[in-house]
Amino acid sequence: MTKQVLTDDARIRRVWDVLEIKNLMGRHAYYHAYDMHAEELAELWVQKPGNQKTASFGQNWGYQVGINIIRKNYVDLNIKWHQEDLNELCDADPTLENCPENLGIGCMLMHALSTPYIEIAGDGQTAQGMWYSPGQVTFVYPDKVNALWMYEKYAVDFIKEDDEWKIWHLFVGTDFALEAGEDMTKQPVSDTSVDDKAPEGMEITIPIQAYTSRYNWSAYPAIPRPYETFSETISNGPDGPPKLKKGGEDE
Amino acid sequence: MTKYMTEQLTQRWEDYNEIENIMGKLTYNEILKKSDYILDALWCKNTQEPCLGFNNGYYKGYEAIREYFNALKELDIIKAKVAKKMHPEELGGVETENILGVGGINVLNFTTPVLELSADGKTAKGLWYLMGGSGDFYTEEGPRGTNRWGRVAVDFIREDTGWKIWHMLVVLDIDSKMGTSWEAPADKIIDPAYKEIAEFSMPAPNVPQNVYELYHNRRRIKAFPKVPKPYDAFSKTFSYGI
Repeated sequence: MTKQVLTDDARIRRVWDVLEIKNLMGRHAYYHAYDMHAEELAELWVQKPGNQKTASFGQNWGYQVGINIIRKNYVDLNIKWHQEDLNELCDADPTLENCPENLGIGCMLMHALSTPYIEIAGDGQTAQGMWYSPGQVTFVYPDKVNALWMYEKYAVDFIKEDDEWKIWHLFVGTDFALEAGEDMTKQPVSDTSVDDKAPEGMEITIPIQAYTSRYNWSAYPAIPRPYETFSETISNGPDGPPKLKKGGEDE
Repeated sequence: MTKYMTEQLTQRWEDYNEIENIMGKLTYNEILKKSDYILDALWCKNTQEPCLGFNNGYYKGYEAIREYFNALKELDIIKAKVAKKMHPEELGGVETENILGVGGINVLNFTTPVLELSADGKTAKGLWYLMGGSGDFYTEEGPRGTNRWGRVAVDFIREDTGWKIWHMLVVLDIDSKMGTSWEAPADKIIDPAYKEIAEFSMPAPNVPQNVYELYHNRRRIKAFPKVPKPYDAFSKTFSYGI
């Protein structure tokens, strides 16, 4: 990448690009925790049809590609899961009311974002960021509460639409899901590392083991590096992983 | 979306950094138990209705907030005296004021920022995850490690001496003993050897209310505190105070 000579105005705008991207990811974290997934897709993710078509949400078990599939899983399926869980809880506890306000009752998610590393493309049109996320997830079942410490890596591509940064490709690789209050060394590896199986009912466009902590490390998602334009860098979408060629075929 | 000139963007970037530094100063001064400094240097002085909120209510107004910080200091003094009594050889000859916080560390670790400066440059709003915890040899239970995770929301205001905290909300989801799960918090067992600490109680909020619940298995998801959005002036947005 050739080092450009930038004006003061261009330099301070790039500083603000980084701050705006941090705010964007912060909003993602709270909207997720607040169960505001529909609002998140409407406000924080890409809105232009061409970008929505290539938008992706990657996790250990593969990629959801296209905003419609992401919405189907992240919004609709999430509500369906909440309703099914609530039905079960109400069956076991008649004092609990089966009403929309109780969807997600007893659930608590917190995926904090720390250690940001953000690169703005030389052309200023895209950016790539990586965060480490310590956090927790807590789910309630009729007979127990499942409280887990979570350790995850976030790798995200952003694109500018009408002067606003939007989430384009979001990748969340889970390293550990550890039962709270229990000795990590006593927990089976198969329980503490999330493998390549997507949760039941989730529609995955490209099922593939995109990330695993089973061998202690994963070279993908790639650590961001300075780049000029998006075509020169490694995507955090399905075009990126070494196991896939562009278009999603196995190498 | 407001368009800014180069000079304005530079000023706003400096403001952003100054506000982030307030939160950093809060963290590191809390570790050193500098509650006087936190109140005197970081909180507003000339602005109406400052407010400090917790799960159980709000300390509203300068007087109530000062009482809260004075009580924190009083508790630190009690703990230091207990430490001196327990370790006379090491601490007996040391001035209590010089060992505030001995045997303990309370870390307010802020992550996941969303920080918005108003377009008029007079106020700002921030939201953070608190992923904190403390290790303390001197609690009413004796030595204890505690995980404290939650959300911290702040309205900042620019005063003559710089950016200051105006309204602050610290609401916890998790306040549980380290090594245990937050879904079933361990019962508190008071240790008589630490009775001076057990006998002390913080002043109650002068506006008591159920602001936010700690996690329990029948807690509803609550979109609280609200996430800041770009805004022009404080009158056009919501407040983290009451």
